[in-house]
Amino acid sequence: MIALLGMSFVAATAPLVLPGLDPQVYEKTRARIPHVERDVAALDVAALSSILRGETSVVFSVDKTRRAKEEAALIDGAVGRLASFGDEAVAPLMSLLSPPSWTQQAGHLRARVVRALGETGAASVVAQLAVLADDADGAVAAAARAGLGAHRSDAAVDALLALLRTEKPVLQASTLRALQAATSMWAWEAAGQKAHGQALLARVEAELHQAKITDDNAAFVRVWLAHNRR
Amino acid sequence: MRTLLLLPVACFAFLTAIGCGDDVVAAPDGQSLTATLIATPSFGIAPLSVRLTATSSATGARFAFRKTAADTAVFPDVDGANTVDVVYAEPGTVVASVTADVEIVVSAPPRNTANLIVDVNRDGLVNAVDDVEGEAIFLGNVDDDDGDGIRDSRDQKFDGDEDDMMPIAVEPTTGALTGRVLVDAPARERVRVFLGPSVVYEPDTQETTSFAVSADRTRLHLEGISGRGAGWDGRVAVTLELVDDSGVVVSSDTVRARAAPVVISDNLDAPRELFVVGIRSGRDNNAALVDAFSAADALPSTSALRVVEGNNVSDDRWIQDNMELGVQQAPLATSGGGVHTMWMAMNTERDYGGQGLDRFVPSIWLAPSYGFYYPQGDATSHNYGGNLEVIPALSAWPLGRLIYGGGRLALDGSSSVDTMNAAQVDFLNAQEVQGPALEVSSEWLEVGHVDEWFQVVPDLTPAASAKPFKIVVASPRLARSLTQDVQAAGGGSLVFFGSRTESYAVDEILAAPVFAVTNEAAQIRIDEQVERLKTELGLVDDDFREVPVFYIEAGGSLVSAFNPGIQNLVTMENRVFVPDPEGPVQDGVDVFQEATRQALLDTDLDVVFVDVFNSYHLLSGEAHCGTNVVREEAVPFYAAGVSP
Repeated sequence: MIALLGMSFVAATAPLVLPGLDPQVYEKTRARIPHVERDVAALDVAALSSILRGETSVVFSVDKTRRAKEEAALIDGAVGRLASFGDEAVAPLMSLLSPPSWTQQAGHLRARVVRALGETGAASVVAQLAVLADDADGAVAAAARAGLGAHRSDAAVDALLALLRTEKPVLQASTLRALQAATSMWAWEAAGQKAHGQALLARVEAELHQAKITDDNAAFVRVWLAHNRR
Repeated sequence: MRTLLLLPVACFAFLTAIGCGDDVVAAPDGQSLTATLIATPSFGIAPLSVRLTATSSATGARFAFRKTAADTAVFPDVDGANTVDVVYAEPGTVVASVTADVEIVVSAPPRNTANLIVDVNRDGLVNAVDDVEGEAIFLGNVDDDDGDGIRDSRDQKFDGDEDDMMPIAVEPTTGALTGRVLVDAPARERVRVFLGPSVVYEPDTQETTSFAVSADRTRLHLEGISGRGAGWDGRVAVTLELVDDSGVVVSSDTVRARAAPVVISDNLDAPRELFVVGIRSGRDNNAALVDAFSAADALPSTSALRVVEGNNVSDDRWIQDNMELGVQQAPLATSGGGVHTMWMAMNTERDYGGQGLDRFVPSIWLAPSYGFYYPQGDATSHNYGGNLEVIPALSAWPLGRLIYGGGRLALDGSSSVDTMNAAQVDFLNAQEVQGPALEVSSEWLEVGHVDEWFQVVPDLTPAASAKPFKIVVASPRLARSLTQDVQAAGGGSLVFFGSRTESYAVDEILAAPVFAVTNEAAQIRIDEQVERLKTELGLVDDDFREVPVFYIEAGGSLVSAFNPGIQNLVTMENRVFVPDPEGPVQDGVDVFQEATRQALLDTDLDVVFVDVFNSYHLLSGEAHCGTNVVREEAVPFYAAGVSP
């Protein structure tokens, strides 16, 4: 089965067996959910989309508790892998915003897809994420902010700052963490764009001093700013 | 509580030779004499008639008697005689003294009055000085002294384990009375009472069995079915009612007691037994770790290595997860001044299909003096022992404070709601003496445990006597700084995990933006928690020691240790077994190992690096996750200055 993983599964008929979803494998570890990243690492956009739409059947445990973990793991791994295709993944991901019926983890799938939109880095997703940031499902709204943070672009930072100015306090924690990720100096240095990162961070810090930070988030902001000074 | 004990009455029958001093006197012919006084009888029940007989070494001596030292006049009718009959009406002890003390014990007659006594002064003895208001201590009898595979409190057998039960003295009574034991409502299902081997109060049925009271002092034994927990603070009131032939209660007395808390051990407590699961074969065998523990002098001489055969537990190696260890202690009932310790496991709610270590506590751990509680609740990784640590004694927490992990936010701001289940948290807080348990953030981690970012180690230096510990904290900042230093020194091609199939070059690590985002966010989250510990516990910067640990995305929005998590170590007194970080080796030195040694240098700890890469690290755990330590509690809770 491993040998097949490089192929498209659109036409596959046999259920897909992923080693990472074998309880004998994942119950040996302490991880809260199994890992299938290695199992899906060689799959292409079509194969991943097929799995996530439920068109390729996957072997899960019968036990409900195990199956829930396995479905969540498949979603995390396959969506994450799909996002790595960048612009090419946007349309398949958008199509999953109305989750298919194969999974009991529809909420998890939707939130993971939203975050993955940001991970694609595609310019077109920022506006969509800004809309999803106000989704009625709090987990999706938080994922949209995380997605903007992962996008690490000027446009994403602008969208996050706009949310910081106007949003409900309950989601401020997510916005702040996303802003921290988007302005991570360690990341900008790693990418060889330290100066750009510094400019971006300075802009965010200026806004932070004007923002109404809730008591719950004050410690985070204090620690974050202190970290930036080190 | 009313006392029925005899009050000591200090009286003196005062014997004097006429015309002379108290004891050595001059006889008529001028010779000296010594007077001796005898009381017959010298003990008995009040009113007690006593004949006092005085003799002397001289002939012709005449005596004057005083019934007590406080009397101002001699007995008028017996002046000059050598005997006198005296009646002592009140209970007590009377001392007649001239040339020799004669003790006369006057006992109270038996009364139809109930009187119970328990060890309220907690010295292990039940005696007259305990006959005051207060609370004695009892244990939950949750070990297995009779080897029948169930906790002793689960059956109605006396089990012969008096040490695990609390004695209640029943003072003598007379008359044709029967006694019956009552337990107050909150504790009715929580305690059993024995008279000898017979149950006189049964919690399952909440029935009391009457018994004939005795003219001799007898003992009841209270057996704790469970200890403090959600819904019960461990307090019990036990009442003895005395009932006459017509069914009328003629007297009653009540004593109070409280279940001992389970005190969770901290890493400063002396190790007694080290548990590890032996995985004998396969690529992920843990021979390296077991060998490290088995080496000569590896463990303190007072510690034993307990290797649980992996085959017996489906190779479930995470023995930190299935239980949290501690003690419950009470004054030793069979001798004065001792402490009775029952080693305790909190069996965590952990779904492993009944085939792994989820069967360890009830079937392997359970033994004489090894008991357990099982709070149950929902299953989550946050329940596990690796997610519960104790910051050692601080002024406000003489037995330390419990810390556990949980929260609602992944590093990137995504929702990640998870924490220890309420039943376990309630159980821990019900113990009171190390709480309230403080929740810090761990929900951002793959397993979700606090030992994925901190661990406590002893500080053995004399200067640290006031606060003899350090908190070892994972530091992506230090890991990055060290890695940058290696690169700056021309070591960009040096690798992490050089002996492994997959290794990562320094240049590669430092040029990975997503890896960098993850680690910076992890550092800020850790800094946030360190600030919280400082605020909540009154700690300062010097109480923390940073060790180099990188994190990496581990599916979803969670992260796990990239290099073996150094802080996830095992403390055995003066030695720490530290996961080998397998960092880049520059000039023959593993820079991550060296930074760890430097971080712990001023603690005087012996640092031993152990290979846990395949056996634990790649399976999302480290050395601490694969071990558990039974530790001694030097001072019982009731002597440690905590509230009872």
